[in-house]
Order: sequence, then C-alpha cells, then structure tokens
Amino acid sequence: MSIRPGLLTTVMALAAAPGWGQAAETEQLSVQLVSDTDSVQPGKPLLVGLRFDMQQQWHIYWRNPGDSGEPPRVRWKLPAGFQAGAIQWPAPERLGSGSVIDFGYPGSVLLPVQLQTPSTMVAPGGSITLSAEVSWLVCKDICVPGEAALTLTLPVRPAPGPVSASHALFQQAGSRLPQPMPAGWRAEASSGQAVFLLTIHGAGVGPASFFPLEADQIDNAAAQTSTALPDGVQLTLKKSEQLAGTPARLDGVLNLGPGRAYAVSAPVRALPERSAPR
Amino acid sequence: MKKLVSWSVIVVAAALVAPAWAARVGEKAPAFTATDSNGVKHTLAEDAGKYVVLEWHNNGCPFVRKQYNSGNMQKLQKEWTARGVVWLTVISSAPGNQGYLKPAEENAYLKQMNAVPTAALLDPTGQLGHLYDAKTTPHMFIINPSGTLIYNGAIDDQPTPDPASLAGAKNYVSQALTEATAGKPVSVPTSRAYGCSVKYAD
Repeated sequence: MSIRPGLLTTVMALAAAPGWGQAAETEQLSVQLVSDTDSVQPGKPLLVGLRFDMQQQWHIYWRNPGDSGEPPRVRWKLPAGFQAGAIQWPAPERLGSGSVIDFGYPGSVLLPVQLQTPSTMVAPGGSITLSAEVSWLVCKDICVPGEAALTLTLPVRPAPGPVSASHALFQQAGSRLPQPMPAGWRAEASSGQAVFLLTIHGAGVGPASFFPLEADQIDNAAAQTSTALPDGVQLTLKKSEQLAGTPARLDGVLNLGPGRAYAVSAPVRALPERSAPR
Repeated sequence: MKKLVSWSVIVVAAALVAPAWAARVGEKAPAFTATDSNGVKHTLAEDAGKYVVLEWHNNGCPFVRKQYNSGNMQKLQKEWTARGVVWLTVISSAPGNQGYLKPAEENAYLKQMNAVPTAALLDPTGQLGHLYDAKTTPHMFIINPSGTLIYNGAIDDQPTPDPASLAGAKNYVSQALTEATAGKPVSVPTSRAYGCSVKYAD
C-alpha cells in the first residue's frame, strides 16, 4: 500500500566505459547518461541519451502518457556553448488493460537527445562534463516518482575514436524511432460523429496501430480497427469523450510492427455522408 | 490467382470496457447509488439542487499525496462544503490493490488527514468508477444543481507529483465552481485528468 520514496542509491561504477555515465539506481529502475561516441568534437553535433532500465513489470511513459502517468523530464546543465535539442521519443508500447490505457516503455529504453557543441572548447586533451537533472514516474500496479542528477564526462578530441561501448544502444534506439513516411505514402483523416478514419495510402501498408501525440483526441482504450484498402489501410479510431471540436490534424506515430514506426501528420476533414468502412 | 486483399483486423485486442455512455460535460450526469465509509447509501438524485464534486482517490498514489500531504485537497473540501457543495471522495481500488481501504481504515485516514469530504464512497467493484469512466487519481467531476455534468478532468494544470508545483497551479475545480456559482459559464469544462491509473479489479 505504501509508496516508497524514490530515494537513490547511486552506484559507484569503478571505471565507467567511455560513453557511459554513472548509473543512478532505485528499486524500480536504473538510469544513466550515455553518448554515441567516446569523445566530443568541437562544433560537431553530439548524440547522447538517457538510458532507462526498468525492473520487470515496471514502465516509464511516452511523451503522451495516455490515460495516466507522466513522461520523464530532463533539465540540462551544460558547458558554455552547448545546446540540447528535444528528446527523440521512440515508438511506445500500449500498456494496461480495460478502460485505462497508457503509452510507454517497459524493459529498457534509450531516449536520444542531440547536443549542439561550440566550435571552441577546452584544449584538446581536456574533457567536458554534461549534467542532467532527470525526473520520472515509474509505474506497475503502483507508481513511484523519482529523480536523479546524472553526469557524463567525455574527452575532447579532434576526431571520434572507435565506436563507444554504447554505440549499439543508439543503433537499437534508432530502429525504434519513428521515421518519416516512405516516399509515396500519404496520410489523411476524416472526422465522423464518434470516430476518426485515418487513412494511409501507400504500398506495403498493413494493419497498424496509431499513437496520438495529443491527449484527448482519441479514446485510448477503444480497439483500433484496421481495414484494407486497395492502396493502403484505414484505421477506425474512436474519438475521446473529452474532445471538443475537430482538430486540424491528427499527429502521432503509426506502428506497423517492429522497426516500422512512422511519424504521421494527417489533415482532418469532415466525414462525407455514409462513407464508413464495410 | 485471385489475390486476397481484404482483411479487417482488430490490432488492439484489449476488451472495450468503456461504458455505454460515459459522463460527458453538458449532458446529464449518470445516476448512481453508492455506500460510504459509514455504511450510508448515497444517490446522486438526493443531491439534486446542489453542486456535487466527485473526487477519485487513492491514498498511495503520489499525485494524490501531493494534494493531501500539502493540505490542498482538504482546503478545497472545507471551502466548498462550507458553501453548500456536496463533496464525494470515491475509492475505486479493488481489494488487494493500492488505495483499497476498508470502511474503518478510510475513516481513520480521513481523520488523520483532516479530510472533510461530505462522504467517502467505497467502490471496490469499480462500478461507479466505470460509470463515470474515471481514469486517474485524482480525477475530478462536477455536477450542477440540475444534474448536468459541468466539469470532467484534472484537479489542476500541473501534471506532476511534485508538491512544489502547487504554488502557482491553476485549480480547475475551484475555478469551475467559482464560475458556475457566480452564474458564469465554466471556462475550462474539460481537461486531461492526470495521475495514477485507477486501480480497478480488471
């Protein structure tokens, strides 16, 4: 019944591999700052990430957490001239059952962030330290908030060395990131009284599920029906009870299976009479 | 030779438990009967003519604890019940799940926290929760004196369990009640309820 405070017992890694920051650990997860490369190059973008590793049955949340929950947040403290981009959110999984459905990540997930770096830094041979204050909500049947101050120190070098130990993580994460739709694909949506019909025209489109970026557009718990079209697929999405008016677009992630997630932004028009599928 | 191009797949096989008609703002609030922590039966009908607040609750949820440990929820309960509003705290946690309390335990909790709802409704079957499609704790509903739902959503505009967020938060329940009791339209009649999922039996 009781909530355990998300107290952290920071693990003192003896000698962290290049590209891996120290992990902060709670009873529910461990989180650390990692980088795609083993060093930083002045003026070159630097790809880093927050790696969450959950205990079994625990999950954290996507940017739209769904019916409950809260996405992780990060506040960067960076050396002068560094600038952090937004979190690149991998395609989420559908979590929960019954009338409360959430979107998030069980198991492990890497949330990549691109950093812009200044063209001049400390002298080569020196190093820089990236700091991030990260907070999250981790849930299974109960929820526990947590926070940690993470750091990652990287040497400054004119060129990257052999790939860092965490490079494989970034490759894996890349395959989970929503990609732009393939050339020739087109998304459009129509708005009926109780449903949106989201249509993806394109070769090789199959049964799919849609994850909305915006809360309160679709009913997260309602089943999504995929219907084959000669040139694509049509998803029937029940509207949220909370939706007021018709949104201009349906923005979200279309998931067609492992490694096949696409960013979708479908203009919405009013549904013509009697054009419901089947 | 003929290619089979017709399929129709329910990609998501989750059972659709959503009620036939959920509580929708602007419409009649669903009628209910529920028993409180003192064993007293409550019906929505008996509160006709009054404003009724429904507050979904789970004493272990960090988002609820933000409201209660700070005294914020109790303050709202005190302020609005003093003005004739019926405030019903609802616990839809199933036995064995977080937040489930037996009647005596809930009464002890209310006393310990100095919580002063009109009543705490115990809904271990989740019937009332599903009727209103309550998704989170907290999840707030307001019904006006003629029985129309006028608010469905979050407690405030700070979707985080961080107590520091209470300073400067816009409390949607206070705002809606203030507006409605002054005869004004509710400026934010719905919002995305945030918090822990309601711990239904499922």
